[in-house]
Amino acid sequence: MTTRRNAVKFIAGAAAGTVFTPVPWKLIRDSALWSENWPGVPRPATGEIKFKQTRCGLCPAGCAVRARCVGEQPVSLAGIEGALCPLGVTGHHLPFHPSRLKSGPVAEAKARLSQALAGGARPAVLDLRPGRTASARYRQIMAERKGFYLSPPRPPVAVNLAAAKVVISLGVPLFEGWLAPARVFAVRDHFRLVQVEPSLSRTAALADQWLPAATDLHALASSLKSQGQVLVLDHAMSPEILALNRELGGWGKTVVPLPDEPPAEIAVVPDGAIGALLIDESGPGPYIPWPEIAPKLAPGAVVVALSWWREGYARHTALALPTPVYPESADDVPYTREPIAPLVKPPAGVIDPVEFIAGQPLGAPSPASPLMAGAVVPRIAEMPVSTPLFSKLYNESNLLMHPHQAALHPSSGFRPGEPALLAGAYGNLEIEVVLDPGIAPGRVGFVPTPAVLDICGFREPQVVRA
Amino acid sequence: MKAPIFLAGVLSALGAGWVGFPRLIYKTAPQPISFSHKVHAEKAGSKCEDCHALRPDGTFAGIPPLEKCAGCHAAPMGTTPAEKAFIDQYVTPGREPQWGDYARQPENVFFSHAAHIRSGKVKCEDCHGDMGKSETLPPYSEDRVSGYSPQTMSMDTCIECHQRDKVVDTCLECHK
Repeated sequence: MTTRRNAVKFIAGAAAGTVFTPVPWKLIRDSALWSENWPGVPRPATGEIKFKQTRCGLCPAGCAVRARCVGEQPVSLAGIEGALCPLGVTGHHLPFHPSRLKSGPVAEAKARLSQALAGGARPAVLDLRPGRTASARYRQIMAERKGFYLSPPRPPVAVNLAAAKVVISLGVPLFEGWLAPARVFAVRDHFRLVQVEPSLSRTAALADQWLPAATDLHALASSLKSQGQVLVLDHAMSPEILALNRELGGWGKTVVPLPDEPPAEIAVVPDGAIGALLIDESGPGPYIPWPEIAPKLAPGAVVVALSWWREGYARHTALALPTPVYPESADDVPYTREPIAPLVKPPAGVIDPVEFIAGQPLGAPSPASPLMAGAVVPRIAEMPVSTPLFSKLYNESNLLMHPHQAALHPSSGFRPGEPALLAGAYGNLEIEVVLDPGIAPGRVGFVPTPAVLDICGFREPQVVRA
Repeated sequence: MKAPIFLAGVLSALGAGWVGFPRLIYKTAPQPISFSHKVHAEKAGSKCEDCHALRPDGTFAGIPPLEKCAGCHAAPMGTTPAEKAFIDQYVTPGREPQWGDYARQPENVFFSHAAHIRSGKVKCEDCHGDMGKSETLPPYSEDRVSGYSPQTMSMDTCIECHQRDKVVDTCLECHK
């Protein structure tokens, strides 16, 4: 007869019996193993492990890369001639960037461009990574169509640190990405660095000598000549600095002229002259603030941004078309024409910027230019891009500031973490104050993201109370 | 009546635990193709390392990709239905077979085939049994909770072998 007492007896017996079965012990073990496979735990794809070689397409240095792939998917990147920079190490994450542009109005963009050009609109191509084979095509197309070939400011020379015994740097972030880190650290022990900079930057902290200011640069350079070849650097490698390097005997040794003509900068274009603007933003790189571009556009101008992400020029036009991004894109290293072989196939629906602008495939890279071996093109302005690992290593470890932070000297009167406004020539942005004794009084440290550059242009912003 | 009811509970649990539970906890699926290691070993004269090779840098190729199989089976070499099905369903359309991996180790384990085969002189059969002589692939079973095959080598097995052969068995040897 089924009674409550009998049911309890049966359950007690079943419980006792269960102890002598594999059930509890197996479930304890399985639950531990199950925790290795939670949905949030990243699990690399399984498959054959292969190694591929290419060059990094994230900056003009074009570091040689060895990619470890599972099947066709790269799972880790490493440098061949030296370590890669943090962004280079995580470059294979870029196709999965949360801001990746995946679709766009291609047919509408083509139709509106055709209409504008048929109506006599003057075209312009903004090439954010000049010096490539693609750049030569853009330059040729714009010359044929009487358009403007534009690019961000770039130095007229490449720099060869290996030929220098003394480097005088006028605020150049030499160890913070101005040149490829692997190239810099490979020759670091062979030159003495004198960093002239009001703030105690990371480069200043790692220099052999830090000078907050140099009243007589010629005298400083002359006094160091006895130690060997002196190289003087500033951000833009300005004409005065080039002249000084000539005097010091560095022309053709420590500073090497780039092989092609400098492209036109946006500042030389008359206001309202551009009727159709095509922007090749197919990779992370320099960014020209939109307020510098907008006045150059004619009323009703068509703007097509061929971009890999939504955070750049795609914010300023409805005609944003997705492009492949490193390591999906076939490209070449600026000024050397070393081919950058794609490691993975680009997703369906992306547009090759050269095919879109030129209307035909790019073809093979042209032969290598005579840029001196070892010379590297400096990066004047690079917009920061974070991949998940990059963020984890840097943004969360205080090694790199968050885009919504600005650094001030402790004497500024602000409290750490205080909300404030970053005030630029074109607008304000809400930020959080970080105090850093390494920042010179009166100066502001900030992260030059596209959103920040759009409010301050090329001028340093101020921090004001909210 | 007290003892029989209690005993019935014990026996029910033992039956469910030893007979029903193992069937419930594992889901089983056939491998994509009925592959015969025996035919490849005896008729084609293949050795384990012909397909499951160590690369020159010491990394293990694991289960061979379709490209490797297609090197010999671009067209039928025999008359078996399994070979014809393999070519029709995988080689011709270029579709990679989704093999169930009986011995897949967790991601937090570093296992070097090169170290075991070359330095430890361990034979394939010591861990993988008579797989190399099998006429067909056994169905692939997967634990519904843990996601691993019952043939996956556990840490107890690793430690037992390392201790028996007096090989270093510290944590970081495998969990690097």
